[in-house]
Amino acid sequence: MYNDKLYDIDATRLRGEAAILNGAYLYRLASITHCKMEDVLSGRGTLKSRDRGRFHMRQQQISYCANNVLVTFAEVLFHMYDVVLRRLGQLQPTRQVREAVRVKRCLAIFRVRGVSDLILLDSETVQIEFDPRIRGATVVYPAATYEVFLQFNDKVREVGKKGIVYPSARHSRDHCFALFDDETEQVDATSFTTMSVELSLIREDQNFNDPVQPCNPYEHKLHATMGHYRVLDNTVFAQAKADRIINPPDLPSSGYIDFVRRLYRTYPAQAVCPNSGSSARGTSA
Amino acid sequence: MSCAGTQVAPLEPVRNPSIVVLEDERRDIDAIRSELFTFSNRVRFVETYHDFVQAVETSEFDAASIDCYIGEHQKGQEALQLLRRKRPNAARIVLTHDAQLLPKLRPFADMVLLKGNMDEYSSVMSDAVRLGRARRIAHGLRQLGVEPGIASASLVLPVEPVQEEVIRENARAALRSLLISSGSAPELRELLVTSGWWSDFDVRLYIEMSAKEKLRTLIKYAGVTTEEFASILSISSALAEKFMSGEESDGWGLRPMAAERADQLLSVLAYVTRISDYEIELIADFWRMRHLFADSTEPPPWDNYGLGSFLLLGPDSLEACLTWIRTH
Repeated sequence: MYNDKLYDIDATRLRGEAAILNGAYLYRLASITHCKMEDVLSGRGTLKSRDRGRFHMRQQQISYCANNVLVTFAEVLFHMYDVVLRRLGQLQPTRQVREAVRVKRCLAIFRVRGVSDLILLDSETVQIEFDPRIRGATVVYPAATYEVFLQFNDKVREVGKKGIVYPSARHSRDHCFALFDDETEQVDATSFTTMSVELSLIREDQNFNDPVQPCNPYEHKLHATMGHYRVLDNTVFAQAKADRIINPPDLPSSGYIDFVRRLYRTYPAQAVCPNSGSSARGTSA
Repeated sequence: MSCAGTQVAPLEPVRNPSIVVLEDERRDIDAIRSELFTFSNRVRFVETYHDFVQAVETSEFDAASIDCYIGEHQKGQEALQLLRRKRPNAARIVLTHDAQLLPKLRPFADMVLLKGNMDEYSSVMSDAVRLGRARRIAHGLRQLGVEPGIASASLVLPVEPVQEEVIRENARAALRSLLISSGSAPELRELLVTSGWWSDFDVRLYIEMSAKEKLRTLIKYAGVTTEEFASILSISSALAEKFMSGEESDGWGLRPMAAERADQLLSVLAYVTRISDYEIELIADFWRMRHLFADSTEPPPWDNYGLGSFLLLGPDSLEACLTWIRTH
């Protein structure tokens, strides 16, 4: 069962030390090809990467995960949006552009035995001991990479920290975790669950009461702040909800969500516009 | 494609065809249900003519089974004419206890049967869904401007296997061509998938596979030969063959380099799967395709060769492909 008390994170943001405690649930939206238990916290994915990320340089080991499923969806949707625009700019072929408009991913849900010695990005400790620029607005700096974060990443790794806890720049609830080491041994095998998910970018004129309309980025303006998710394994999802291992617990199996931070007074009701989401094939170019 | 003189084995049964049954006699409904539910769970029973009209107006289906008498009224001819007008592709089967009606209704139906022989009924309905499905696919092709290769008038019960084969091959070719050029025909695709004529990517099954099973599966989809696989991984043909047959289980013969290259190849094949929009049937095309990125300002290194051929050029080519994929 998901328990939000199992993340040792100072809500007052004074103390920088943070930890994930024994029994805490983490969520990772992995590729459908590398989504096994030995993959999700290995950090190997970025070892092969040629791109920088928020807290890693090229070919630097890291695993990104979160303690909220919607955070993982929002983060990946933004990345898809960014990639589509980049590929359009590079005159990549339709197929290469379309590949980022709708993707299939694997949502991995698992308990960990605990990861300590993490640092809370949004804390006074970080401002005093690491970088005074990291505060207020900058902790949720929306670009995928940001020089200040990369410098912070170097410093934090140098002092032997095991990872960073930080607020998502794409979703305003709960936390993201960037873990530097191979933490596979911390994954509790008995808890490991996977389900397939489809994420889609949507048109600017998408009606949120309707299923996902075909979206061709050559023709339509992409919605710059919202996308759609749909869980494809409804049986596994229903079981996960029944076992109360999903955060947020009332998450619908499909819906439209923001990939920008917003204030939600009722959650997740205001964060998800539920929808049957029976997106037709060929939703893109 | 010609069908003259060709001997073709019957194709697989249509998976889960949709059927509408107009029937108001409880005993017959039960008998029909037990027959039809053996090959479909998409059988819709309607007991009034009003509900039948609604069903015809609102949904596509492969076949309709018509009881001529609804209540005390003879509705057979009216129902058949409605079907011809609104759902001309659906196979129309009449089932009645009134033998005198049979010759009158025969011109409007694909088959007329007397009630009483459920074995015969079941066999006819099995053929009827094939007929309806063949007509629907042929119709879908014509809508795309593609000639299905079989004249509409010649599609009658029972559909000849050779006719189905012609429609299948023309439909597969048309869909392949359309999808490769980034078009879409979701209804035709769905018809082909549920007819067993087009393979669907089962993401749930794929996620459950081990890395080696995934690699074996994608290699098969891409049409990579054992020799090509051995060359890409710099392993012996014997080891490659063992792997392909599922026998290899000891970590690539203690060669970590080969395991690393296998993982890289899996990533490249996963990219081709995504580029193919998870269309299994297109993976082999995109594995070999050249000049896909001809207009791009940042084409991949394989674009002049095709991925499959480029990877055979030397040990560094796999890394070069992966670098481009992960950078873009």
